[in-house]
Amino acid sequence: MEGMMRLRERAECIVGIFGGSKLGFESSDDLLKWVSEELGSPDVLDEVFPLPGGKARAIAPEKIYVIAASTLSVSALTVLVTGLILGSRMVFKMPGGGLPDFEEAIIKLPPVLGKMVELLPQHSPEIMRSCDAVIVMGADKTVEEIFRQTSWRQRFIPYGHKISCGILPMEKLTEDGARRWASRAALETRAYDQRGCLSPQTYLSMNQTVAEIFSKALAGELEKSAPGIPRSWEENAGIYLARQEAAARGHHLHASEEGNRWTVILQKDGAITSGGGGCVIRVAWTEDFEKALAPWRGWISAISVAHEGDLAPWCELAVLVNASRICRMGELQNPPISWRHDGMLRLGSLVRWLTVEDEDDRLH
Amino acid sequence: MYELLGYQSKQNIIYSDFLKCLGCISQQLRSWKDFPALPVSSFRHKKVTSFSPDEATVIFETSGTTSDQPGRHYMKDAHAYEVALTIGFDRFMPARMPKKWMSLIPPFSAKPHSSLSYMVEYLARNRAAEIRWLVGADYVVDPARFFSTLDDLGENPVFLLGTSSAWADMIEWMEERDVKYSLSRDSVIFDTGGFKKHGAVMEPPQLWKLLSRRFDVPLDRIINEYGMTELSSPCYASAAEGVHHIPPTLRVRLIDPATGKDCGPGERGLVHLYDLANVHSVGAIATEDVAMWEGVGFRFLGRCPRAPDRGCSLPYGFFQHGGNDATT
Repeated sequence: MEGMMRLRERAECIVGIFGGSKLGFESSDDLLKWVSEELGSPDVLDEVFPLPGGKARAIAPEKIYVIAASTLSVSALTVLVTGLILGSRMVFKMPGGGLPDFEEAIIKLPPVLGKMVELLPQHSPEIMRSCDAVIVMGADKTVEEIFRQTSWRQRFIPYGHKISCGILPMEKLTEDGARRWASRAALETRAYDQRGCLSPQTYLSMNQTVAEIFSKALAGELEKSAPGIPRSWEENAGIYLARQEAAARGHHLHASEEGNRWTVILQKDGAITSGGGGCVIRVAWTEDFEKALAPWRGWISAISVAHEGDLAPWCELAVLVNASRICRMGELQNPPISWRHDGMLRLGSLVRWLTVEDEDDRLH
Repeated sequence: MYELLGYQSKQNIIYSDFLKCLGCISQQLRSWKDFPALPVSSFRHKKVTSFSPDEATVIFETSGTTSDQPGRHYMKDAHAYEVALTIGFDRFMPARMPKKWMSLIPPFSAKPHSSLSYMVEYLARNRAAEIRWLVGADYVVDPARFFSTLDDLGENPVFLLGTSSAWADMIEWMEERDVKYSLSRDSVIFDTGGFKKHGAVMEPPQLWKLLSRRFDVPLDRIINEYGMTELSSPCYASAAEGVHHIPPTLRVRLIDPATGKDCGPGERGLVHLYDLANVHSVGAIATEDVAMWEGVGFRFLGRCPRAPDRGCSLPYGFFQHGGNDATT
């Protein structure tokens, strides 16, 4: 990596381009703090550095192969920032329809960083085999197929299908409270047209009354704020069929009067259904969150909680369902850059460690 | 149709609840088109009847390949179904229909809840001189028996009935051995159903071409049926044009999912069926099939790609009832 900028320079450069892009950082300090949290020190990527127990250096992968999920630029951008921080070259296999926001960001990179990134229109197993690490985002079947093509010598970071949900852990909900939480829920529901793993699919409440009040308030908030996104025939069909099926199952349906802008389904039977995007959100009630979420174990990315105080009491629930994040309702789509996506360190899972064991260090 | 749906909106609890959920008030529904179609998946979860299900004398079941839970179509009696079948069959089968039939669809005695078996047996009883049943409940075809039966029938034209899966198996067997068999003039091949149990997916037009080539039958004497357990009035297409014609007992709407309104020519739409012969269940059925108007009929384009399987979110229906119940 001759001629490569040092981390601090790269961080400044990254903030200049991506700061304020809702990628979970605002300043270069945020980025350096992230490196410190995961690797112990910002300097450890550039040189051998004293760490507890001796000296060490974190060796970034020379080249990372990335399969970018379709439609979600934000995921690809987060991986891009990760690779740029590490100073690794990156090859992105782009989805068929492209990722306009991501491609625009690549163009903005200064030449010294831009030359680290290559875009491929088609998957190339040959190029992938030449990389030290492989990151795959998208459908489970894609993840499994790519995994079959990798070698045990390569770091493999899979981000397959996941969903998120929200919980309303209160016995009663006033109309004001419902409006406040619904307003936040609407933010996280409508973001990215509900296509990401951090998109909520269902809000669970503790009783029917709370579910009814909340679903009505959420419908009102989405009516005010959900944008009219142009959708494909297939996307419209998915929404249309979801609405029809909900009505056929006897659920209460709130829906935008015209078009398929948003849909709130108040589940009559507490059943849980995953979405398919398009701002179709379900509200269900259960006396036992653990029981309701247990079948989702392994498929839940994050849980947002309608609670103003300490969120630690909800950790046990997250552990039970293998979620990797608990946040306040409204924040699902805004994780910090340091979030351990699917429970993995973004930087830490990619680097290889070199330790230097001087006699003096060993004695200490 | 309007009267039937008005009646069912009162007598069929499932349909009545569905209308309520959609905010439909019976008095404001002024035409049959104003009645929303009930999703076909309802037949999987509920007893969709306009009578007490205990009085059902016929219960048809779907194969259960789309979902673990089969759909059930309850009928108080099969009279309306039989009338609708006969009307459609007589109207759309080609001229000079053979009287000798061979079926790769099991008899009703082997599949006592199969609407397809019922249909073939009923039509054979009323329109054939004889029928040879070549498969049992497992649908497995023995090619040797198949061809020896054809030999037995000699110069007589034959009406060969089978599912697309069975035909695909047969074609695969014939292709591997380069077998060709010229059927007698005026023979007809009847093809129905999808490829649910078949590993290799073959597009219907490709299958029809291969059938035509291997059996030396013109495409206009290969007939495809568009039907389902929940429907009493099937539609038929000749393989020569691939356009399904609608029987007099059925109305079809193609719905634009973006607006919920009827599609114009050249637009893809979700198939909604209004079946006058579904007197005991519900007359208005919303399928997940996609089609396009063409001439006096519709061109079937396949099952709706249910939801965009994109990004890292889970596809629609991955979880239902809190369990893994993939719908596709």
